[in-house]
Amino acid sequence: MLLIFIAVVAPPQRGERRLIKRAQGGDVGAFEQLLEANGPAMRRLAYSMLGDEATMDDVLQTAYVRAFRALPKFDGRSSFGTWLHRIVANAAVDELRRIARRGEVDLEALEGRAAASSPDIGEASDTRMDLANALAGLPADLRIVVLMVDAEGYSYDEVAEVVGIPPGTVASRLSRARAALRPVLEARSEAA
Amino acid sequence: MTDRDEELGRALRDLPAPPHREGFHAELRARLEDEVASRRTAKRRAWRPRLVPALAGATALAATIVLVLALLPGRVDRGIVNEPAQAAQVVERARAALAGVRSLRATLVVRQRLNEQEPLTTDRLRVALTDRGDLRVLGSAQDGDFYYSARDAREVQLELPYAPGSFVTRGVAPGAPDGLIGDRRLGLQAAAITRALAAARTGTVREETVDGRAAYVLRADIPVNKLGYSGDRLEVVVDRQTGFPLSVRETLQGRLVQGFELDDLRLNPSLPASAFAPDYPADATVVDEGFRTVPFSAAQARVGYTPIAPRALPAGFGRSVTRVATTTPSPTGNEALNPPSRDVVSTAYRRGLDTVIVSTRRTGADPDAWADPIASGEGNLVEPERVRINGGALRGATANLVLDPRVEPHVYVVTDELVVTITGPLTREELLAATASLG
Repeated sequence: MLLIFIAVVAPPQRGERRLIKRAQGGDVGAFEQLLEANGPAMRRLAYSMLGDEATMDDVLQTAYVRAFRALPKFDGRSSFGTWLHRIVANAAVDELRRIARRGEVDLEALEGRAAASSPDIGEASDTRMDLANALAGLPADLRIVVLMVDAEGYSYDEVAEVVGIPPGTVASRLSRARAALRPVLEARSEAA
Repeated sequence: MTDRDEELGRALRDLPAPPHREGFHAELRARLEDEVASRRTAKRRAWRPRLVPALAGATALAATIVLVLALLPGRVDRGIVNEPAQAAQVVERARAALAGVRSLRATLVVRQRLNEQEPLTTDRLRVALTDRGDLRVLGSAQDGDFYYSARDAREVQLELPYAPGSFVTRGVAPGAPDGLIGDRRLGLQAAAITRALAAARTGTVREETVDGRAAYVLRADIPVNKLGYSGDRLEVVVDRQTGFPLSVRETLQGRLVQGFELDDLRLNPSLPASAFAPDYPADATVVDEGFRTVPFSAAQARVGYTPIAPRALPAGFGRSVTRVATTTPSPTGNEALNPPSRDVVSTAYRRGLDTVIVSTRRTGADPDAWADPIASGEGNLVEPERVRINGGALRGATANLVLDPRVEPHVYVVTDELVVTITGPLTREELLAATASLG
């Protein structure tokens, strides 16, 4: 919990602030260093939400360019990672909406996009594999909510704003997502 | 409200993510370099360093000065005056003073702590502003010297400590959500703390003695930013004799987050337009944000639709300037996530040192893609009050009214054709009246 707290609210440190200043001044290399420090978290977020490697890369490129464009507006009172996180999450939601529109289906119907293309998790435990598969099998609208709230620490209000649904809907979708994922964790506990 | 499953969250965060495809970083670098190049050619997108909050704070205080002057210039009865009628009376009594201020010069002492771990820093800035909209902030150790000339729609930043050279930005919009004017938007967010208090009448005012001087002290609890470092209480100390602020303090559990103090205040000094338009080096980086000053009546020919204007603004506000842009340098909204702005008309209405900005832009293909264009800052989520508009060109549409301590009071309306904003130090009723009078 402490780690998550730090990840969500940690303010910019001196070294990061210098990089931000340089990046705000147009230094692409400085911006790339900022991305490098946050890359794994952003990949995890984008992949988990989108469930597809190619789409993850496309969305992250879009999000990073947006972030570079918006960087002059970054006022430094939250961490760069927090700020970037919101941009990536928004870009992923945009992409899911686009997919839904293109296919003339609802977000809820975008089920299991990732099921056939789970990442190579190497020697990951069966539980991680099971959880990855269970997550990939969720409809996108449930996946987004559980990732944003439980994994990333967003409040219901924040998710509501990003996804564009009422907070009550966030709560109900979260409940459904947990109901689907919780048995995987509980099976692990029982096995242990 | 957040009800978080910590165990599930940990397990989800532990899931692996695939690496990027080959060539991802090279593609990204090429796109970023294109961005930089497009800024430098100044055709589509402006490029300039931003002012850090300390300097933005200067504009904040400048605006706060105006507000406090407006808020508390008259006699206030002893004790707390937090009854709505009394607070409103104080505000209304004060507004007459606002219109009389033509210019201001002062030394501004800015103290701030960027976050919990950082030490308090102090900057002494020489600030000047006029009722034309000019702004000058000199002597910042962090940000060098800054000038904005309303006449020329141009900003000049000289002697920046953190980037070589000087920067000139021309074609600047007159205000939010497009015109940052030295990131004055951020400044206005801070200033809006007091403005919103005035609008919402949520603060208290008490007569106290501060540093041996009779003063009015305005206090209010403010919501803490969920993601960033911010205060939970605001306190504005106003000299009772002069009606000007002695200090503005934002604190978190009693610890200073940021504070402004005003020294050497001079009202209505002579400040010609040239005082805000310095010479700059020939090798300065010059960029263009794309806004051009036009008569309001000529705006339609530039943007292809009939611009709208409020018929009901508080007494004394008059149209100051209209600028138009076919595109703008950065999308609006938090993290700049709104769709690109097209065919923007932005008009400033001024009364003394105060400004109301009315802007319109094309909605584009997806009205649902628009969030509040007047960004309220990272991690500061504001739920607007939704009000059906009962008159004017937008009759029947929904106005999103935002009165929040960290953002300038404003209304935004998204129709199928236009996104409309009204931003300024107005009350709820005044904002709604202005919105219903658009035509």
